[in-house]
Amino acid sequence: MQRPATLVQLTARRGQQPALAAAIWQRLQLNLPQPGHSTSDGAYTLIWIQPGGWLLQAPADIGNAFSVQLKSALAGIAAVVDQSHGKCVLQVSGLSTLEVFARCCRLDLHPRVFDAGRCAVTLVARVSCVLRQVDATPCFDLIVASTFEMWLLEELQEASHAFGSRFIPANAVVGM
Amino acid sequence: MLLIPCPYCGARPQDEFHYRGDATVKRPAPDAGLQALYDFVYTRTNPRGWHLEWWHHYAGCRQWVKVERNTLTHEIRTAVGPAEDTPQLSA
Repeated sequence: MQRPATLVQLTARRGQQPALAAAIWQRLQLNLPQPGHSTSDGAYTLIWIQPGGWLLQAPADIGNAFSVQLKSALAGIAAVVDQSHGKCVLQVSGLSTLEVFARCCRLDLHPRVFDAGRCAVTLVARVSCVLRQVDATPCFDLIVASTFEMWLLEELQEASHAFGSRFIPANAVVGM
Repeated sequence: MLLIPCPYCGARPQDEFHYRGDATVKRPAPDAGLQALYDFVYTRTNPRGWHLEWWHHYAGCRQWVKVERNTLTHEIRTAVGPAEDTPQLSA
């Protein structure tokens, strides 16, 4: 399933991580997640992507103004880069999700080691993307560069050939 | 296939990394002469056994990682961040 979203990358300036955590808490009531984890309140999700770096996933309809406001609010604390135009979100869910990922991703995604809220920046079907487990259904978000989206979609469909799959494009889920 | 224990992300497959060479070479002083600079740029040892090397986790956290790897057995002993010290290499 294709999911429209606003994606903003936050990179803390040197020594400013506590200030960033405080500013994000004040604005969104979300904690900065530890490495390999994400925090979410349903609408806004913070994903750890690298030391001192987070990706903020926000509703698509808040648009450009959100990152502009965030940028001025976090001046001197963090670099704010709106990535919405260059990245998109594919959501994969269903009973055989783990079998599909076993065919195209090298990470161990067994619930024992990778449960809801965990995230990783890794290669899926040789494409670099951010992988996040949304819930234990299991349901995963894949945040990938838009230019690789069709490739990744075709690879995922190929990997799920034995189980069957259904793709829901973004324009079909408006109103969700 | 190597499994490299990235200090930030945990164990990750080698194809998420780029090999970026020997991590033991030090840039010579500016007045050290042309030969010292030539050696710094081009001359490398080819050790059989433990070797300290740079790996760039380009498809993960994008950090440079200093990895102590045995070139004979491919065993990896330590992997630390770029600014951290590794234990002295023993032959």
